[in-house]
Amino acid sequence: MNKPIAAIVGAGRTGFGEFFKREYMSLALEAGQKALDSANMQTEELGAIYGGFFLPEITECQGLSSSSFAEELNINIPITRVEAACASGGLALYNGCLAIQSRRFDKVLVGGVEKLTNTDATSSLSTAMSNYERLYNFTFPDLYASMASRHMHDYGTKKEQLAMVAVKNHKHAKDNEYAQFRNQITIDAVMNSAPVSRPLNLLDCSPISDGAAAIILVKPELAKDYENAVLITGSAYATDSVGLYSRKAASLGERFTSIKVTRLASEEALRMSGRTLKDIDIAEVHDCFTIEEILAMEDMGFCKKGKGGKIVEDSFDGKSSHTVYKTDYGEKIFNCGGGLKADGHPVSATGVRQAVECYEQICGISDHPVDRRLGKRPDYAKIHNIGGSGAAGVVHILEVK
Amino acid sequence: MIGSNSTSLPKSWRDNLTRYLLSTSECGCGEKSFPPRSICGSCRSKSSLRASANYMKDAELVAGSQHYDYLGNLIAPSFVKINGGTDITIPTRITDAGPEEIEIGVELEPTFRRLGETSQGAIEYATIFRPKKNYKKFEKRDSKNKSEKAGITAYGVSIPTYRIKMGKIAEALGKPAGSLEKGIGFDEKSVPAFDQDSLTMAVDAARNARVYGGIEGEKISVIYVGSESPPYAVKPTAATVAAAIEALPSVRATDTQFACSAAANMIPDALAAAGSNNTLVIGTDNSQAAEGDALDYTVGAGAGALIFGKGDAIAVPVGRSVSHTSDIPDFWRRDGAQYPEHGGRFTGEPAYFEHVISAGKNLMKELKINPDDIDYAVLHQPTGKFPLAAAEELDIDRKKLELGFVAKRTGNTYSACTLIGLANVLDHAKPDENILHIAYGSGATAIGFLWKTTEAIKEKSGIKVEDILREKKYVDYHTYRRSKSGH
Repeated sequence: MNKPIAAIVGAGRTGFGEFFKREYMSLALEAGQKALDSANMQTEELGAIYGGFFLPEITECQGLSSSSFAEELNINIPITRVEAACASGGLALYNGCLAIQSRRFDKVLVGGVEKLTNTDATSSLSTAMSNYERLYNFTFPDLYASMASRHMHDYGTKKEQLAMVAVKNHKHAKDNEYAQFRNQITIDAVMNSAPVSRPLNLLDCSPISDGAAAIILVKPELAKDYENAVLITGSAYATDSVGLYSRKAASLGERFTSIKVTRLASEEALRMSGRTLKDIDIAEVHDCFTIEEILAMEDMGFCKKGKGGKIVEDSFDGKSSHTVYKTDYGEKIFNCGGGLKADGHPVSATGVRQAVECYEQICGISDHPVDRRLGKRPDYAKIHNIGGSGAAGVVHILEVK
Repeated sequence: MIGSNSTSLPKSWRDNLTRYLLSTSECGCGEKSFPPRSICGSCRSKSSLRASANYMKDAELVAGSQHYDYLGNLIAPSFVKINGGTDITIPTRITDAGPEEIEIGVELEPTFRRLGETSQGAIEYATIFRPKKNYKKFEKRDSKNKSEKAGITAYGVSIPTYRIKMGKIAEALGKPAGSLEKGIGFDEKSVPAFDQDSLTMAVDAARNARVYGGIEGEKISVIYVGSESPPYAVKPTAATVAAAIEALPSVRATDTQFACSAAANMIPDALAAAGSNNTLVIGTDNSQAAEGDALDYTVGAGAGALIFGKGDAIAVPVGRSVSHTSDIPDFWRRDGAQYPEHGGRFTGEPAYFEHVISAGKNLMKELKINPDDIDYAVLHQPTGKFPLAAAEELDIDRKKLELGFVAKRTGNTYSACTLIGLANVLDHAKPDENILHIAYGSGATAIGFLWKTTEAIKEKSGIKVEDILREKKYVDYHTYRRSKSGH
């Protein structure tokens, strides 16, 4: 293990779903207070707050949203809102790590919140694509459908394999009390659900969600003072063109079947941590659409490009507990609590929720532990959070203290 | 369905030419960009960038998607690689396509369409793509036959892909099958796609004419767009056409209105203005009709474009045009009204027939010709019966009307009607033939021309009207009503 960057010592989240009766502030405060409580920490101990919030200007008509938390909490510390669309949460965590690494702060809160039900989510989310893509009537499902159709064309990936990702993630959410969808679905149900953008059906898509998540970061040497602490040993962030069409790729097909930021951030995070893919027990990957879980598996190097669909199919089982992917680097569980598909996807909360998930799994305090399926408590986790159609990628490596 | 993109007006405007012309930039270092850049994304050079327009190039689909909007329109945002050595991938939308046509590798051709609206409601237009049609093109022109007289040097048409059969309209309106088809004299009519309007068809027609005439946009000094169904009550269509065919900025561009004669009335002016530079007249209409009205059966959609110039005209006017005008309310649309009103049978004898026959007789008298001197006749076609009856009065054999009678397959395309008919005649005509051309505009005027083809017509170029007419897909009444009104 290389030198840890920071330690997570507390975590909290709200349920994810359509909460028409709740304000973003109420969701954010619930998650933040739960995180502080779990670390047995007072708000006044925090040196800074980093919060992911993608759309406050649209959903709340609120600029300067960072100071709205100062108002609510009656504090005056530096609060920084970060934004990288769906990777806003991951980017907040990345910034929290930088803050601890810089030695400027000992304790920071990292959060993410989104209130998608306030608005026409499809058009609001479209601000995270290039102007030209939006102009030509692309929706986010269209962008990922373009990638899926090209992946199917180039590598023979099947629609059934995409469906298996959704079925598996609903299964993983069954015991997750916070998940938006805990119902169990079948391959047929996915295949027969309403077409959204060919080849993607409704059940290939993550939902429109409200929710918040928060974690407490401290400098590594303070980790011993906390009951539940998990170390962050890798933290990397890569960017690329907002527009899918203008990204540099080795071939025309690869432009649509490979997400470069996943590979770059993944390699950098692993390098920082001194770990390899073999060490990883669990991974939270950004399954905004079923195809993206397959792309992430390939681009992070768990298998060769084009083989992700086959791994999903070969690993698919009817077992009631978690499904284990048989990757080129051993058995891994992806999206332990249901991922974006079933747990829900309140955009900026997602990246932080992924950290909450891994923290609780490694500490053994999850309500849906993977221990039974893995035969042990997971020691190493990888978190993958994507913004737009692959314009921002954040990867973190977490490990047991 | 044309959605709001919520783009700000100035932001949308700054991108107009990029959207219309599919502009890209290429740097000396080989880096290519869409939209064009002012600093190279690779070598950072500011000086070695060269912009180019790709709006007439075909493309190939490299990754596609498709969804349906709530009205049932197939929306297919896709990524395409522009052919012709550019090797650049751009986002676009595929139109005029069925779900089975959105496949990787499909060959595409450009077309001008509506994309959306700015936050304030200005329409955003763009060059997008549709599956490549199986057109047989005339050879590219390289005329050695020079004439000093101004005349038609190029022509082009745009007719939507979609059609509805007369019988389908009757059936939807609860009329007995076959009860109306005979009286109307049309077999079917053209229906615009949901993203077409009179402006987009004008651009496609002008591009066809310009390109296959081998005429540079900057050589076009005058543009007249005649229409009774412009997308804006106020804002010239002609300016957008000028931008979309690279004719900016010194062009004189004007919209005109005189019912179905709005374009034909400007032909004498365009001929007079044609010199070393070219002039362009476009007739285009996507006129509306109230449900169940007689016009609901007859009104089609289409555009015809004629380019005038000196030097290599394929047809030149014989003598001057003859007009016959009176003040008669046979057909009108009040300001703000959605649908036009008309006088039923009143549109016949005192209106269409009085004017068309007078113009025809006076023209023949003035030119001292008789009906036997005429090889083809293109008369305005509000129904199938009207031009036949007028020809009979003029003592013109109905066989001479056949090639020009395109409305039988498109419905009445209003301002475009005789221009499309003339285009079809020019596709077939041989040198030294006479074409009688009489347009009619309610309100009312008829304007008559006699065109004489030249040796240069042997070298005509472009897409044949017949091929455009053949590439069609049928829709039902509901789809026709919806897409005709732009939804």
